[in-house]
Amino acid sequence: MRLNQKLKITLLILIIVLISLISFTGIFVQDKGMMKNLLPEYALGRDLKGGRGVTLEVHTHDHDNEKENKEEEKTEGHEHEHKEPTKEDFKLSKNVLENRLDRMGAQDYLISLDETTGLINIQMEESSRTDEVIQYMSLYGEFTVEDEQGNILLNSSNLKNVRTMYGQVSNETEKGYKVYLKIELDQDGTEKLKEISKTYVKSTDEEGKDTSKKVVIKLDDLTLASVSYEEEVTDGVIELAVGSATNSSEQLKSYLEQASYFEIIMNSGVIPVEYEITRNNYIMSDITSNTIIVAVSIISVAIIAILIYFIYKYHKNGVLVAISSIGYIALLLIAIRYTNVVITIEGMAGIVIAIILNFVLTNYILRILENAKGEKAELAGKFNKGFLKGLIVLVPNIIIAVALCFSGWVAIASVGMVMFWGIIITVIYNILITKNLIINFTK
Amino acid sequence: MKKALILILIGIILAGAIIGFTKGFNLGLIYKNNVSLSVYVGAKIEDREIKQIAKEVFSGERTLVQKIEVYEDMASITAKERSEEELANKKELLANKINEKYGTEIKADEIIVRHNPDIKLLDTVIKYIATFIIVTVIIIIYQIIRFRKLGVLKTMGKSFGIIVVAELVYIALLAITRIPVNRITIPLGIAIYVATITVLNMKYEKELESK
Repeated sequence: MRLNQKLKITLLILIIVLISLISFTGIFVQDKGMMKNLLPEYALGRDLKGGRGVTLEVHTHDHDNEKENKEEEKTEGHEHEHKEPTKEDFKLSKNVLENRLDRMGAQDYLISLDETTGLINIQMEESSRTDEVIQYMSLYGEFTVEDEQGNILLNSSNLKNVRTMYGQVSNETEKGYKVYLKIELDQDGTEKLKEISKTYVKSTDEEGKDTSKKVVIKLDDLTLASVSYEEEVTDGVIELAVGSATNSSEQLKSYLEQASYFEIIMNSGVIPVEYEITRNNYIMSDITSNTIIVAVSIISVAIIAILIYFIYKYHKNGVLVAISSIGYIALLLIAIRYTNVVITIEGMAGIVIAIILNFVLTNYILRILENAKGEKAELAGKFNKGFLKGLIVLVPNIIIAVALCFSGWVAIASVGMVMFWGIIITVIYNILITKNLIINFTK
Repeated sequence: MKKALILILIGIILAGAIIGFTKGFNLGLIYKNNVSLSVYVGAKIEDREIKQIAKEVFSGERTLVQKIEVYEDMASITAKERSEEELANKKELLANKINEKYGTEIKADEIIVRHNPDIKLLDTVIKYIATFIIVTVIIIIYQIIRFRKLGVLKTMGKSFGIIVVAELVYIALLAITRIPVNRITIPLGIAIYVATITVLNMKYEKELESK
């Protein structure tokens, strides 16, 4: 073996050792008196890290105060009928909540319903938006347009679609971007709105005092707007401003978020049962680091068994591929950290799958190289042949990886992302490292 | 040999289907309706310690121990559903064990009991099924195009059949062996799915090469 080849092999093995050390132990530096790992931490999913536990229970009305409540609600303009909720109401409530969670972008949650009591348990991912999601998700969601006496003129059943929009305004009172909800009504709602716009008109008296007849637009007990109309509305659309005009991108983002929550609630329908949140706490995963260490140990034993098989069957090339495979696993784990892939239990299965797919590819290479003589050119040619053959076999796995990446469910996307990076690294790593190790380790 | 294998697989699937529809699956604790006892300890809890306490209180029965809130000073022990009388005893025992361990003066009444309904497995599984059906269709289309020399209908039928049979056998074995359905069940199903497709593709490539 020439000196040049020996140097290349030494360098490659050093690279593998370095990657492995970095991946399995980390790079620690001193930072403010503490040792800090320069490598980013793994982004863990709800099942591995923990999440928010929320319980919703049916709001019970005190029968002694029921008459008082009814009076209060009449003046507030809200009359929830206090009928006994049925099993179907509970099931519908669960469906509405799930719909809202999906629309709010919750990608990792478990929801359960007690069909007898109506109790709903939700376990969801913890993020910066979790508190907002919980707050808005559990709203009753009744949209109403009421007159000043609290009589309901329009309600949720008249809603066709609600969209969040924003546009630039520039007038005497406002300048900047304004967010609004475009509320489209159905045919019946359109007729009613036409009448409302003819009845509740803007007016002033002789002294210029505002004598307009107004309607109040509400979402549950929250007054969204109090309006009177200048002209007849025939298109069945209500435009509701959310916040005020602004040129601040942060303020605009905040208004857009709020409007999108309202949009989701109004589009997902009313929860037929009135719920209250009786539990809302952060619950850590029951899967501790010890459990993960045990799982990793079992997987490591299986990987070592495969590497021993490679060494036994393919001798010298088997040893080289075994060394190279350790570097591959290390590089895959580094890539997962840096690409911020959320690791769930499914994602961990994805890591194992990616490692096995690498073994499948390298096995194809080793089988072709079995009968190769020691010449570099021949080795390179056979390596490429085996590599291509193995890669073609993996095409369906590439399809699986790419397709799963697009899933809105984090557990599924986790598998896809890990497999995706696993296959990309398999291709690049084996061409750069494994190939050079094999073709240079020759006389 | 091949016929015998097919018959065995059909037998497993049928047996699994009968048991699945009559007795159902053996659902793990997280999917079954259960009861959680939550207790505020007031001091940082170690996993090992609270797991030991749970083991002693519930006589070695399978439980789920979780710490609550970021200060890790509250714990939740989830166990199978039981009567109020039995729960009262467990609460008393738990309070005593925690007081013994952490030097606190917790009363049984301070332990929060929550009855958790079962999680419908179908609700969870359905999110996976739709995605994997789409992926399977795309893969079968790829295989039909790539292995058209082996016969379009033959490839399509074989691929679809083997993928479906592999998953059905897995589900059937879960029903027959009464292995608890827990968080590893779905990832294992995904691994079997990927392995089946990989092996199938390897076989097709070999057949194509020999043609």
